[in-house]
Amino acid sequence: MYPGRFEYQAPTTLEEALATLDRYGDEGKVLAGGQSLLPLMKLRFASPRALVDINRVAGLDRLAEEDGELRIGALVRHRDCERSELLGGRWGVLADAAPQISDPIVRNLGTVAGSLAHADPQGDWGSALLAADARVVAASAGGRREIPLDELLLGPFTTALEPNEIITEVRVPDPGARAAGTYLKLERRVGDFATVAVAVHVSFADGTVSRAGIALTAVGPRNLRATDAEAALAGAPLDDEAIREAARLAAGAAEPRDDVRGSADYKRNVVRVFVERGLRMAARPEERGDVPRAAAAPPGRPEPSEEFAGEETAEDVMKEIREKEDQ
Amino acid sequence: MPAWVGRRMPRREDAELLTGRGRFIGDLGRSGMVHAVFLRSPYPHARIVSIDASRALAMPGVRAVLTGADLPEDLGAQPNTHLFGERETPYFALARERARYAGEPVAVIVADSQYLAEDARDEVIVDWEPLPSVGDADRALADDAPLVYGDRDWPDNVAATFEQEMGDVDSAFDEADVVVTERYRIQRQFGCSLETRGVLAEWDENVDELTLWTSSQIVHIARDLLAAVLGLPEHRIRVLVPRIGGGFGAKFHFYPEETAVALAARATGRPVRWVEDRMESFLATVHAREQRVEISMAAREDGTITAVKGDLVGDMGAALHTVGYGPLWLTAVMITNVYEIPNARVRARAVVTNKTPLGSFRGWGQPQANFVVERTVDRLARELGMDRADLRRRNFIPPERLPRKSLHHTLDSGDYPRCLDRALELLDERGWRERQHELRDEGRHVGIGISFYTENSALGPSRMLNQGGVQQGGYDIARVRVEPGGEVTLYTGLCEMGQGVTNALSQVCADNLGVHPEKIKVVTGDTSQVPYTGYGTGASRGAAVGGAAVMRASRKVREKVMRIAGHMLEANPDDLEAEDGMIFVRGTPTAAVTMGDVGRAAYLRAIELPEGEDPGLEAIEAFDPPQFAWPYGANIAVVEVDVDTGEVSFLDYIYVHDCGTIVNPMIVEGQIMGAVAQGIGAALFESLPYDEEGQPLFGTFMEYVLPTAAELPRLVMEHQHTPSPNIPGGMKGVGEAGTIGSPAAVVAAIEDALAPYGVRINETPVTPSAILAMVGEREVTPA
Ligand SMILES: Cc1cc2nc3c(=O)[nH]c(=O)nc-3n(C[C@H](O)[C@H](O)[C@H](O)COP(=O)(O)OP(=O)(O)OC[C@H]3O[C@@H](n4cnc5c(N)ncnc54)[C@H](O)[C@@H]3O)c2cc1C
Repeated sequence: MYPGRFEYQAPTTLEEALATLDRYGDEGKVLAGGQSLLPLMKLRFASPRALVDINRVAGLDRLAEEDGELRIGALVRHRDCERSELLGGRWGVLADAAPQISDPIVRNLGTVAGSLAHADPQGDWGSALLAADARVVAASAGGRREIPLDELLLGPFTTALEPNEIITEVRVPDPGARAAGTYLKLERRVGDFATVAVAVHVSFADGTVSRAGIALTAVGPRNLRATDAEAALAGAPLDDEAIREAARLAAGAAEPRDDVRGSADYKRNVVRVFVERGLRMAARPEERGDVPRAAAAPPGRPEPSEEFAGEETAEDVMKEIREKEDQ
Repeated sequence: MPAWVGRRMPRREDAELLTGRGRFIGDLGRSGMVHAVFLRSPYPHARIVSIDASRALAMPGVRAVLTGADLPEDLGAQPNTHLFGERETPYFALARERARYAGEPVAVIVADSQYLAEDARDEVIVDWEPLPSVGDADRALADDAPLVYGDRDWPDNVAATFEQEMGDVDSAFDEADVVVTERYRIQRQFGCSLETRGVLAEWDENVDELTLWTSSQIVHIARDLLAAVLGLPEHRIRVLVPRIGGGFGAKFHFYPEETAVALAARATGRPVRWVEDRMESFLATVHAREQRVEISMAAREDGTITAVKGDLVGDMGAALHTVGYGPLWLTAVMITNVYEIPNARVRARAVVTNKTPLGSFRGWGQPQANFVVERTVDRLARELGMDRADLRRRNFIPPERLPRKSLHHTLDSGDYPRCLDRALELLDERGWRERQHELRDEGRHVGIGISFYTENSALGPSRMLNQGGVQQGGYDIARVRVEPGGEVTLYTGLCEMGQGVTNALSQVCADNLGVHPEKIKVVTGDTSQVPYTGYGTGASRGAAVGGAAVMRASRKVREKVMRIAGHMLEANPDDLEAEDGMIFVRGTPTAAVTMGDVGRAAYLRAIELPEGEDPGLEAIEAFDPPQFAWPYGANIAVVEVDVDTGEVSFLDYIYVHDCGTIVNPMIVEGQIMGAVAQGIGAALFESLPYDEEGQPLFGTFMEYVLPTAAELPRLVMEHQHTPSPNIPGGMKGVGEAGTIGSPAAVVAAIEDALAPYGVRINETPVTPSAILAMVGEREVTPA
């Protein structure tokens, strides 16, 4: 699991990075966190001629709110999102997604923009940001353009980016004063890619839904938007009946397949369950506790037994031994 | 009075390992060392028409490409040491003519760096002729199945059939009030280690001697098998085992790569290292467990189980590896578990398929036996309307009737009812039976599962092994030496693979010699230094068999220490005591000499020795157990199932067991926790599925789901102590125990949680998707 031969460039300015990338044409690849690209290279599924490492490019690591919009620079790591105060509340969908991505090692390095550029249908950011109606800023030697996420993500590992383009920033629009959402992910074990995940992001005005974003992870060739469900919710109060109907519609929008994680029917059902749970949480954000991870343990379970030796640290034991020796 | 045995002591290697200073194969380097990678068959079954390595060989930095055609004519097939009467399934260091499973090594490529070797591998061109193949034991048994060994004129795919019977099974079934029959499927799993395998070989041309570092649990067996395959005398090969990052039985095998890397070292005249990469480890390291079992139990209305019969099919993969079909055999003969069932009959068929060979994994065949027996006992309880625990109690072999022979083995000692009762007491102290009712009333799905196991440990009486067909002994030999300065060096053939055996052995030595454990250095993993061990490091034998050998050697040395000290102190040796390196006259601690004084006398100052005493201060002693030792225990799992998503979470896990004398409770608890994690892996997560033709449907940790700390319960553990009557010191083994009873308990708990749906779960792993398929979709439970 060692990669083939490649050239390595580490520019320090965006201009330089764009020019370098432009020079390699479709033989060059941007290297951000490396958490998707390097495994592919080690498996020799990808063998780019050159890597253009953007980690030294100044100014790409900004995570900030500007004019009500959230701006996520190309070098903002999953970990930054997980820790940022900005992401809670109205952008609950993003705050809840971040800590559910893989493990701390991957989160320390992997980037939001890199996830979008990688376009893995099992990626979590794709859905969270689709639900939040985000778009990306793509720069190239020739200029820059904005691409809505819906148009960026084309299919499995396929985007609308040109080989010479770099996503410099992700922009998430202002969801309004009253908004709530969450990201519910079913994983076989902690740190796993999603079996199914659902992003829900709802804005309210005058007691009704002004905009609903619902997107689905791992149940189609790309992160899918449940547009029928979104449309059905808009303009109406978010009551039980509306929630159930939206969940049904969203399940219909899923295009799951049988695989080692579960059957297609199973996954479709989890979409329904999660959309329902997610919308319920959005309807009553004040009641929500922590992100409901897989089947939370019942409250008030008995305390673990004292006999359990794992509580002891090595130092405790050594101390005990020394004390005995001293006697 | 034992001072060290029984103490909680952190492992001596912890600091080294936790600070990243452990030296594994991947950390070793030799001057001039080059790197090997393997080209493996992409097909489950294919003929090798030709291999063209010319482009690879032309690449700069490439030293050699060896294929099956380059192997020495007289090279032996990879041996199987567990011969139970089976057809031969020869396979070699590299596939000759045909490959029988995806992942079989076909060529080894040696280059100056790992990068170059992998580049070159891409340039080796194999012309394959794919052949019909079979990826499932049931299909392999069908009349028109593709034959895995059609080229060796096998009429079918059955490598061996094993049958054993006791009592009068047919009459018992005829006379039974109740009969239950169930069919189970147990998936493939494997002993997945943090450290993959690795080999480093250096051939000294001048003297024609080979040094081989290998990540192995069987240091001497590996040497001997390598010698046999290469046709070299054993003493021309030195095998060394550095730190091992987990073995779990998978490293109890002798692999084609060990031979191939040795040959590559000879071919290149360079030290050659190969470290298995994570992806190839899923195919190149032996798999384990896969069986389907049909089992019937006959009982009287009062719950007395009168007979059991089992029909087992083991999917052995493409060859019988180092331990043959041993694990399948063990499943078969454990079919009565801890119960006094007078009539039993088993048939086990070892079936070959075009899949990675099956081999050892912590528990061997016992988790499968336990699963099918314990789940069927539950079923019987349901059928009889009896409490599950009562039914078990009624059928336990009572303590006063132990030792008692079961189908093959003689269970030695213990008190099963007391162990189960204590576990149930803990369950009630923790309020679970009551809470289960309350939670059920709230609409939650909480279940309790019980199982009871025994474990075949302290393997094993050498004669019994040989009689059964094992071409190895079951003894262990230890050498204990007091150095001139009074420190102690203990040499053992057992390997330290993270299980802490060196700590346990030094605690035993400390007590029996009268020194502090920190004064004892334990030397392992070097055939040029350590005494021979009969069986290798497995079968839960380290503390029991190895410990007993250390005990004997330590005592022998101590006798001499006492004679010398007695002479120095002008006291009768019988009046002396040794503790913490001081030897003194009982009751007069001021009249003392140190172990160093004795050591100096023994080696340097013969003038201080008693008349006629030989110089030197060491002893070598063997121990061959007269019988196995049988630890046992109860697992109780409490789980909750989310019926909307099928997810299972643990609310509690109770583990009460008896493994005889405990040398170091911290180690025992760690062993049980780790093994239960693997049992839970079996119940819920881990699987190595293949398609019908034998193409693997896995390849990375994306498919092979190992549970992490987050998914696992915190164990509530209690120890009971019935010393083994067969082992000096009373130890029974424990390393594998946790894997055995845990799958049954966890699956029983899920079934209990889903009682409202009346489901039966006879297949593992129980995934969320499988659970939902059983309970069906329903209205979402409002939060
Ligand atoms: C063990 C493991 C588990 C994981 N689990 C999850 C998970 O549960 N959920 C999840 O969502 N992800 C998961 N990931 C993927 C992870 O989130 C990656 O970080 C992410 O997919 C890619 O981000 P990166 O910065 O590492 O990109 P890189 O690996 O550096 O690049 C990925 C691709 O994007 C391109 N690229 C990167 N940045 C840009 C840019 N700014 N402009 C244009 N192109 C760019 C690269 O050229 C490359 O093609 C996991 C990864 C690992 C290794």
